[in-house]
Amino acid sequence: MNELTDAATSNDPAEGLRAVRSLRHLADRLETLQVEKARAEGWSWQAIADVLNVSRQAVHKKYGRRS
Amino acid sequence: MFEKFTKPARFAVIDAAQIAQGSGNKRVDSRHLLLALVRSDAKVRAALTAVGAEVDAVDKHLTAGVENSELDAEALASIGIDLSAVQQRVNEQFGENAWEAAGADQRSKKQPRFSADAKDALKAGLSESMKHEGREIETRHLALGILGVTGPGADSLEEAGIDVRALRQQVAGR
Repeated sequence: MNELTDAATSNDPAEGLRAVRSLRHLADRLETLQVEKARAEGWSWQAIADVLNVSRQAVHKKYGRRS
Repeated sequence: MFEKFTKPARFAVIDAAQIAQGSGNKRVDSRHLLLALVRSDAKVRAALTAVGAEVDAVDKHLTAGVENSELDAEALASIGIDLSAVQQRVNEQFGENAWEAAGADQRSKKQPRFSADAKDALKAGLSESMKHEGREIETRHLALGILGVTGPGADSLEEAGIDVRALRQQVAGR
């Protein structure tokens, strides 16, 4: 556990930046899953867009062509 | 530049791009190029064996590196996120293999570009072929180029405990 806290508090930008990049990718993947689930449960694009705080067009463009 | 490549060398570059795209990587780097050669080039495989490495193990190591390059478990752990826990939760909530399927969905349809280190490797491959008065860039020149630049390719080999310099000499036939 000490190792973990050490890494978290270390000032190595390389590790920090890799964490940021991975977080973006992770967020994207979770978004894909949640949007697909919401659509499957009958959510409108507008309702999804409202929760994500983006435009309906943005969500539809990103996920609309699937399924 | 690619018109100077021999067919196998050209195929290796195309394979590298496909490996990158298939793993959702936006850039083709020296590790993708190296992996393509490890999978297809007899000389590179023989050189690996000559320096005491197991070709299949190297292939696996490089493949794992390529596939995980977008999600760095270690870096995420450094900010308190347990990637394997997230993965497990997702598959519990969304069904088996949902995590993997969503990953496949994330893959870009766009052609990936070459990273700076891949470009350096290709340029180094070109100068290797010129050094030997060759008119064409063969796979071994490409291999020498990849092994001669700093980047994910050489780094991954070092991680796997391979002496990159010795390997390079093997490929060069020295």
